[in-house]
Amino acid sequence: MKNILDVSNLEVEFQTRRGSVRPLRGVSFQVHEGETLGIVGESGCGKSVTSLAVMGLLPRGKSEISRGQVLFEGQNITHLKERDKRKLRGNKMSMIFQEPMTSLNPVFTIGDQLSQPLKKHTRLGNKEIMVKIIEMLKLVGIPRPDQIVQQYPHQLSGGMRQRVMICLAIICKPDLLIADEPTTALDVTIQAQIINLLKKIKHETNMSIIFITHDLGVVAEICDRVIVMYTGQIVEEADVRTFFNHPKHPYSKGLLASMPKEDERKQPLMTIRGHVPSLNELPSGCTFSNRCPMAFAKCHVAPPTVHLKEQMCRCWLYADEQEGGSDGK
Amino acid sequence: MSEFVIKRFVQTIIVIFLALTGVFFLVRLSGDPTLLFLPPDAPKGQIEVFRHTLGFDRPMYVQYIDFISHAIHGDFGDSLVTKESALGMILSSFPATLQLALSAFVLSLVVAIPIGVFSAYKRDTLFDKLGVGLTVLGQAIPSFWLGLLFIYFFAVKLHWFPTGGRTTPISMVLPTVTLAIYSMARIVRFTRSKMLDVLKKDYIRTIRAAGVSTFEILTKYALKNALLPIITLIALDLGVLLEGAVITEIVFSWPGVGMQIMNALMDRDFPVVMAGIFLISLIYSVINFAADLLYSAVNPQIRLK
Repeated sequence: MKNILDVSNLEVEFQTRRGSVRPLRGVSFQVHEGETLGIVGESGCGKSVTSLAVMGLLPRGKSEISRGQVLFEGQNITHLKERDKRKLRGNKMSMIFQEPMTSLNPVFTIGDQLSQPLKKHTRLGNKEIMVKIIEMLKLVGIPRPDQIVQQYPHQLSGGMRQRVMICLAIICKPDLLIADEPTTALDVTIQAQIINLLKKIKHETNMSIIFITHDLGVVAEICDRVIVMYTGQIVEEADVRTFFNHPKHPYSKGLLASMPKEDERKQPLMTIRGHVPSLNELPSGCTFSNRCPMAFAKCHVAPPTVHLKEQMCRCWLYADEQEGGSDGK
Repeated sequence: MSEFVIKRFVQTIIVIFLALTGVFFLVRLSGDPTLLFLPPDAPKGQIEVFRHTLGFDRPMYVQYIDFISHAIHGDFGDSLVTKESALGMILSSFPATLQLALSAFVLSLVVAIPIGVFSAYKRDTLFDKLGVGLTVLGQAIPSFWLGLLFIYFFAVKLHWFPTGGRTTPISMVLPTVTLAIYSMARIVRFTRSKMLDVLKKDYIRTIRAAGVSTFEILTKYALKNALLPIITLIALDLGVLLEGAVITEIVFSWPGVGMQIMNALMDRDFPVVMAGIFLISLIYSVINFAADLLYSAVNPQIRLK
């Protein structure tokens, strides 16, 4: 299958008042054509930084890609000029953000904001743009689109705004859509609607989607493949079936165990003890070792990346099951 | 909406009433005008007669009630010096003040908003730091002193501009710049900080993700959000400029309301002073009111109640 996105050994550095930190420490993954890749992990694991780095939207001046590269449709876009990156954004690759309530500009109409990608990336005239916007608003399930285009964001509900955000992201038919926790801020019923909408769009357009979330239920619902991130590294990668049936990394197991289950109502909910360490104070060796129930002596040394039959895992527990040698990182 | 207008109208009346009351008693503290109009050796009887004709022999509260009841009808009496209508004198010098305030207003807007936006974009660079430093200076320097400095360098030493008066278009330059500096500095600082706030917002990231350029974000998307609070400040600034014009006029002998009030104070020409204060406070209140209306017009989320 063709790769839409090929990220290899990506490192991002942030300059903070207390020196520089690396929220991404060597991340490599691919997104295939027409595939939905889920990225999961707790807050602060580097999920959003990964997507911002791919989009070229890292905060200017304070952060940079310090190592590795991003190939998009075969083109190296790691250090592309802002002008050329702009031609991709909203066009070939686009993004939906977590907070629909604050992600639309309150002083511009829905129509004005939706017209921007079309004005930037197509040669359509104003009337054609309006026709296209109304067509796309219908596609994302917004009633009375011809009225909605005249309205301001505060006149719409959260679910409606997220539909508008999705419309904004897909209006130029991108090849890659990055959805950064698009349902986290929404009511459960609206969540299901949005997930179904994304599934429908994917079915109709065959675009590739990177779906960032910490809701594993959503992952099971929509993703083909899953990446688990912890402290800026990928600790496990597997197709969705393998991930749910045979998770390998203790962190993945912890995440899965923390999901509330129907038959366990009376028992206390499982949690992973401790919390994600701050980037300034990462434990040496395996960064999960201080929270890991299976940690042993070897974990003080950085774990190898182990390629198993159907998944990849960065953990000492599986060092012996390696198929064809480890890269020792 | 109409409820809002009525409320503001009542507020405006109260503000003007308080301003007039305050000034009424303050100017009377400055002394009795009758002594100024008569020769120093005038006999006591003559002074008493003159004081009686002007009504200054009545108790203060009677004078005050008399003044207010006339002022309500727009009658501020006649000038003690020229015997012309006091309000008429003030109104005739108002165009000069308005000209000065408006040109300073336009100048500060045209200069300050782009500098503020650029400073925010270039945050923490040398340009930004220099700009912020200069704005602090611009706000700290009193305009009467700055005006004198300008006169000394550009008029006396370099002979580029006249020292004062309102004769040629070029005589506008120094008073306009002097008056504009303060609000210019204020608007630069305010624009910069509002732009910095807005540039951090999620919706700016959204529009960037849609492929909109930084230039367009600065000049359209972020600017409109930042302008909402800026507009209120700017509109208020027009009021401040009108006040400031009073001082600047005196430094540059600009024949406006300020000069008129100043001269009237020197002569203890109370009716003219009161008419001047009335006009300035009226305009100041109206401008504030207009600022609120403007704010609601540009911000769709605010519907006035």
